[in-house]
Amino acid sequence: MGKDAKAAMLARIKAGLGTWAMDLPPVDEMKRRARLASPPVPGSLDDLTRALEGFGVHCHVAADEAGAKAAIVQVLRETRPSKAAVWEDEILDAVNLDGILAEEDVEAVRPGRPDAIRSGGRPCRDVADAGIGVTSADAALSFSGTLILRAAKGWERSVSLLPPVHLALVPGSRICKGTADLIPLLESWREGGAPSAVHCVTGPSSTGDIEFNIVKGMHGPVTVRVVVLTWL
Amino acid sequence: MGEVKTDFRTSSAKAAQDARIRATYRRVYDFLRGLRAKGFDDFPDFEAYRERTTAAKERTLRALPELLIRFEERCEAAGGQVHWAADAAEARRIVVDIARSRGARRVVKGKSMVTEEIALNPALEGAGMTVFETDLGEYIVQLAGERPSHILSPALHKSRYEVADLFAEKLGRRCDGEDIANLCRVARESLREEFLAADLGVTGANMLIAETGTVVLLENEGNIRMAATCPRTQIVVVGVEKIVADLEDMVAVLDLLPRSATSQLMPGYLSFFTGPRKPGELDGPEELHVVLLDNGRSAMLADPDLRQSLRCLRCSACLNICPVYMSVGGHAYGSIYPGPIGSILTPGLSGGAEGADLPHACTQCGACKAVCPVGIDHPRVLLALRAKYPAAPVSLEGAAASGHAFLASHPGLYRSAAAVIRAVDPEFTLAAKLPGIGRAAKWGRKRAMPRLTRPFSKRWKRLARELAAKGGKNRG
Repeated sequence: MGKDAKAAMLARIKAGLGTWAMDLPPVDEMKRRARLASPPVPGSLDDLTRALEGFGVHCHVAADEAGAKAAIVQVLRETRPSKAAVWEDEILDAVNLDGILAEEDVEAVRPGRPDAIRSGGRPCRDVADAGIGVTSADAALSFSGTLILRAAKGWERSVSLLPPVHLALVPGSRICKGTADLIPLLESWREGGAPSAVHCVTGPSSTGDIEFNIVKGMHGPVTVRVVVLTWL
Repeated sequence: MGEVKTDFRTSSAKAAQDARIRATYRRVYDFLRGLRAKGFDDFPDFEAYRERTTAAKERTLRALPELLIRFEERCEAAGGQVHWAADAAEARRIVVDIARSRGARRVVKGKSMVTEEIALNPALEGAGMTVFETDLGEYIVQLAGERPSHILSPALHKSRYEVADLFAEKLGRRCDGEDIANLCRVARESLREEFLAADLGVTGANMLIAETGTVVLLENEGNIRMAATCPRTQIVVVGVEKIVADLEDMVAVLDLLPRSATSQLMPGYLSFFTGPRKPGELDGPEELHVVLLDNGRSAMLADPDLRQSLRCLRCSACLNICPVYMSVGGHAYGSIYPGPIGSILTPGLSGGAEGADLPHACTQCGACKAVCPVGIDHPRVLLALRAKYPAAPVSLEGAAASGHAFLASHPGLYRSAAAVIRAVDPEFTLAAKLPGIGRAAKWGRKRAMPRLTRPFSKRWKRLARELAAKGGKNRG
């Protein structure tokens, strides 16, 4: 049944196209290598900050670990979560996030650690209980203030989505410029299989569905905060 | 396309007489004009971008069979499952079968016009499942038992007060209609639990990337991400024409789609899904199904007059600028897709079985063509459809006569109805023959449309003023 449906559909489309049809060259290794050979264009921190502030996302700039700690503490004290859902991530470790959370008396929910999950192996309910989700980002686009997050083991999709606050720690070296940079980025992540999900996050969740009034915090975070780690 | 019946002459005349609809769309129009200006006034490269996006979508159509095969191969290599659906019934059956066999009880849906097109919700509900639309606008429309009035902003016809009344009635939550943020919070809270409890997420797709087997989705609310994060199974229903060849063509579309839709450089969330979650990942679907839908698209592709309209990205730019859409509103079309592109897709996808009168509802002003990010020449396609489906005045006589009876008893509204007749039947050849409408038609014929010798972009400001002035008078 399935095979027949496919063959019939393709036959109909081919017949419809007739002589208008066009052959496409296969996407070859040459092209893929060329993409990797022109890496993302570095974006400016000023542009990123300006773009983020444009939709109300405060961007902290930290030049060292102490600066990062001060910024994270500020975010925690302003948003006052009792629990934080956090990624298993070397950038988070580099700023000693665990230590900061403990000092600020915020319980860490780590969906990446199987023993932490109480609801049937799926972390969404636990993550939804957290007042803040903390992630790193694979890249940021300076022209639009976009954070790019991959899903992977330890990098759960829900952490940047379900809590009302999303805090992203972004190494300064990962700031790229614009949409064209998505090509080398996505290409480079295909090694060993493309990620199951890549999320490009631009500002807090929002809706304009009632009388075009923009309201922040529709289904995802109400607040997004960014700390750029310029030494990384 | 569902069970929608269209009689545009009657519904548009009625809508044009409805002071509430006209006031609503006047506000909508003002807002969207401002939004458009924000996104495009400082965008001198529009023509160059449009050329690139048009070329990408032209590749899509001309190499469609190969691209679909490539997509299937890559998506399945990543662990996804691809299904082929010739028509709406087959697509519904595929989705219902998957849902049933996984024992799904609760379905959360991301906003998707194509699932409206195939009337998926009644099928899932008929199989005993509860379906939640989760885009705020779609949720409002679903609670109200209505249909979307706009491709992107499905509930733009509803005021905040109507939404407050609706939430009070359907959710048992007393809400202050003045407080829009609170209305959104109420919807967030009531849908949050559904996301967490849902077994199945159903979404559309803005693009498929053939080269990588990736599903691409754009949104602002986060509901689509929720549907792709919490449930164990995700089903993507997508028209075959949404595929693009490679990452480069994806970026070409991305550079114009959010800007054309909402004047955003990037949507709140742009997501790339390649297969289900991988081993070790704790959230995201364990199964990802993609249903490739034909449902009349191959027939449109076979027609050299119509095939260009399959480049459509569903950005809504043509609706937002169309004087007919803004005069009568989305519901008057009686079709899933309203506005200029809806007037093409409705008869185009159904082979003229539905909405055959919609192409006649066009003033040929060319505003849609001027803003289209993929260079669709709507006026030309609509003319071709008029030739294909000449209006059938006999079946409309009764409706027209009763419309006139209503008009005659509401003399203050006569003029606005005439304006609509002018839009529906600019030559007045049909209208003049219809009982009772002739007078209005003659009135309309005396008022020549502005000459189209100057490019639309130069004429627009003046035309906008004229339309606004006309709208003001017609309030009755």
